[in-house]
Amino acid sequence: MHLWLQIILNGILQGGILGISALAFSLQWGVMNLINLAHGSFQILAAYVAMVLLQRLGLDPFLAMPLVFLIFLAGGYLLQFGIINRVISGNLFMTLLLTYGLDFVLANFMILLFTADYKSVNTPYANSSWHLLGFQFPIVRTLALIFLVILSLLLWLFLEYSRTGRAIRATSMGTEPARLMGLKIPKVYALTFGLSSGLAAIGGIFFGLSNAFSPAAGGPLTVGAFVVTILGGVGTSWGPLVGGLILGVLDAVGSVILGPTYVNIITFGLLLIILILRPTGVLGRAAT
Amino acid sequence: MLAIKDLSVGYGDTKVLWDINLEIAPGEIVALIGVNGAGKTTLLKTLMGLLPPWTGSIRYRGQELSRLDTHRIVKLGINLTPQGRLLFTGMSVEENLLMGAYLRRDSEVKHDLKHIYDLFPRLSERKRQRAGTLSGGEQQMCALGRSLMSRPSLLLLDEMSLGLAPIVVEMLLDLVVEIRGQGTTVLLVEQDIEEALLRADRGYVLEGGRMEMSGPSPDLLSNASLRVAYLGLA
Repeated sequence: MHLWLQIILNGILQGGILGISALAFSLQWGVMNLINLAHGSFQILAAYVAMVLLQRLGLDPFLAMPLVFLIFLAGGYLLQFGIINRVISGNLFMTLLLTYGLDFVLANFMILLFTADYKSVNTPYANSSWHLLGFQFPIVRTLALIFLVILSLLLWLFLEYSRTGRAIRATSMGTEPARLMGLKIPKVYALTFGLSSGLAAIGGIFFGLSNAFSPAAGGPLTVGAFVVTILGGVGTSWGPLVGGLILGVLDAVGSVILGPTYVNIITFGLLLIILILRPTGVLGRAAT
Repeated sequence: MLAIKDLSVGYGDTKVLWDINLEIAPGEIVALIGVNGAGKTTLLKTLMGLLPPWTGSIRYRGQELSRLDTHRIVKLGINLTPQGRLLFTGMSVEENLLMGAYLRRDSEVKHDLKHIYDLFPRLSERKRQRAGTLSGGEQQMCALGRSLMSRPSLLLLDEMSLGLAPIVVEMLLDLVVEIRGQGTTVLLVEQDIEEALLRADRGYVLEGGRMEMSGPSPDLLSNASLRVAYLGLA
């Protein structure tokens, strides 16, 4: 019994990392109808940046986090403004093609800089755990879940109550009326992509702290974010938390029952079931 | 105030408007009349910079609009209440109204919000409700209120009466007259020509993408061919 509770706990904590990743992915998808296939590689790049900052400057990843967030915010803004905006109003296929190409470029850029070998962000606490009531709480994953709750809350407050957040929501509900209010859609999109790139970077740092990674690790992260987003509902502030917890627990339990090799069956099986039964996600509203 | 000269517009290869000429003087209510597909909405979208004109010019207070982005046109004080209302359906009524004032940085937004609630007590009762859950008439009030929140100098109203009960239409159109009284110039686009011309100073008739007729409202109202075509009256 205790073992199973620990397994479920591990799943819940894994949901934190999954959720932060999906927070970014879902924001892009919900606001711009953009499915960013380079999402995972963005996160891996952030993990490498954290690794370099730690190795070269001795900067702890948590202290580096605000800096990495800002770098990715600026980079994401420029990327959207300069490149993605050119195809965003076209059909979905064009943006898929563009972000697929972007993923390719990023992954190979990382191979060039860091080789294809597995690396990790080696902090003294990376593999340590807190112990409470006989259960093990891996420090990084526990913090990831706490961060996910805080980031979801901050994102929700920003979207709901700030002038800019309201502009982002308005644009997500219709670009034509948004333009008629005087909004500059390319800027709203650039800001949205910048913000979600910053969030993706935070997710990437957490991933790098708790897993070994290589330039090829981006793909599975994108798929994970996709499934969590579908589970929680596209474009909802709390969907990534809900979706992350569900997928985290099911993966943890499933990998014990079926063996870790078959865990993808659960991920994709779940995706299929959700798309058939409730395509709007757990928290999503019908027909957005 | 607004002068449209020899304007032609189209979608893709298809020309929709041919050599349109239209003028509006400050303080006027001008009605633009035409059946479905005549090109009324296309003209309004072009005025707002949502569609690029092929040829011709649009001058507003002496400034050329035809190459400006929509946000610049909104900033100049022109506002469109679009056909089908295009509310932000997932937002509350109050958020929709505040979106109308998005470009404003002055301190009187709160005051204007209260003014809108005075005009439309129904919106005040439902200010926390999602706009998508309002009735058709309430949605139109919300869309009109949203436009007014921008404090427009020139207000473009596209088919306000569409799908609404006659009593609501009367109320909204009477309000348009009141809005004009407060200094806003109005271009009123309607299919309900009698209701529109009864309140407008002048009217233009758009047919198949061409401006077929224009003149003072009483003249148009008594024009025999218009009465046959639009009202089915001999």
